[in-house]
Amino acid sequence: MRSSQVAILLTGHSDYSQMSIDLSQPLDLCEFSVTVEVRLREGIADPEGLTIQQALPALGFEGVSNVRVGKALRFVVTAHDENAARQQAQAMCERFLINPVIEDAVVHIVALGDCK
Amino acid sequence: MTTKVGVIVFPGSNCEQDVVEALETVGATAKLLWHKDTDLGDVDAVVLPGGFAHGDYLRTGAMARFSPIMDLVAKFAYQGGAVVGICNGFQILTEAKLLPGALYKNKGLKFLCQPSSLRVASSNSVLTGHLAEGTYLRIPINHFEGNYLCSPQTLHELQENNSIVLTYVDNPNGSVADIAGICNKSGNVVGLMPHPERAAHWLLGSTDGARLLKGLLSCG
Repeated sequence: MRSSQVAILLTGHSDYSQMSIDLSQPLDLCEFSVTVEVRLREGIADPEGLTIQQALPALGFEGVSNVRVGKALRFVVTAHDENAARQQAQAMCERFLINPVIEDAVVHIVALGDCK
Repeated sequence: MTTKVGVIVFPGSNCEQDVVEALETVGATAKLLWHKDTDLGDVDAVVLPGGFAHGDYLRTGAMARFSPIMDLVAKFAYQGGAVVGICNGFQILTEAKLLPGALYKNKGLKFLCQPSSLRVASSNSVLTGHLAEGTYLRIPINHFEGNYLCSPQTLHELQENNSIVLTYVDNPNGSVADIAGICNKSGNVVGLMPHPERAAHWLLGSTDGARLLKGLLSCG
């Protein structure tokens, strides 16, 4: 939900024609769904991935290689635009979400609602 | 003068009382510090004990490095104070970048709880300054993430600076260069995966851990 819509609901205003907010224009803040895919860096042995890979043929899944196990973090960032949301997510990765000695990350961003 | 050691308790630490007991056994005095404390007091050395600080959420040590006391620990370390991280404490020190590298899942994907044979690879640390290089010690390990990893350049620097403190005789977890413990260049910050506090009395099967901890007595 966009911040201006929240404001309208909170005021309980029933006559939208009296409102000065133009909903056709981009709003200041938008919500973005962020998925950070944390991966083991290339070249770092992944015993968990290897164990899964070795189990797959026994279950009838042939031809699978390069199994790597990582983790995903999902959260919502409120920002002015997608670029700002991405910068914030990347800063979070560098400071906290990944350990660059062993991991790297791919950030996926989807705007929620009609955000641009 | 008696050495005073501060043992830091994070939410989820579980070896702090054993460390206090072992330190007192070797003749130091020890006090517990809470991770939100804003003063280390008049301690001569700091120990980060083992356990699961902050539940090991996100990564081992990743949350703990942001505990308020870690700023004081970093300052203390930069001023030359002795800082020792045992097991989870070692993981916290790497996350806090007080020591290089990282600790990752054991190669065999098994939680390892067993005695380990260690070799003192350097006398250049506050824990091993009184032990000859080549001394063998038998001290238990107890970890899932003890597989030490670092870049080739970091490994080279560790070797050049004589900063590899302890090595495994039979590498149990896949650590690069059999590393069980390292120190910073000046030797005052040490991290090790084995638990010296669990080998501090003959009833525990070994007193080699007490031999290591005696190194801290020189800090008093």
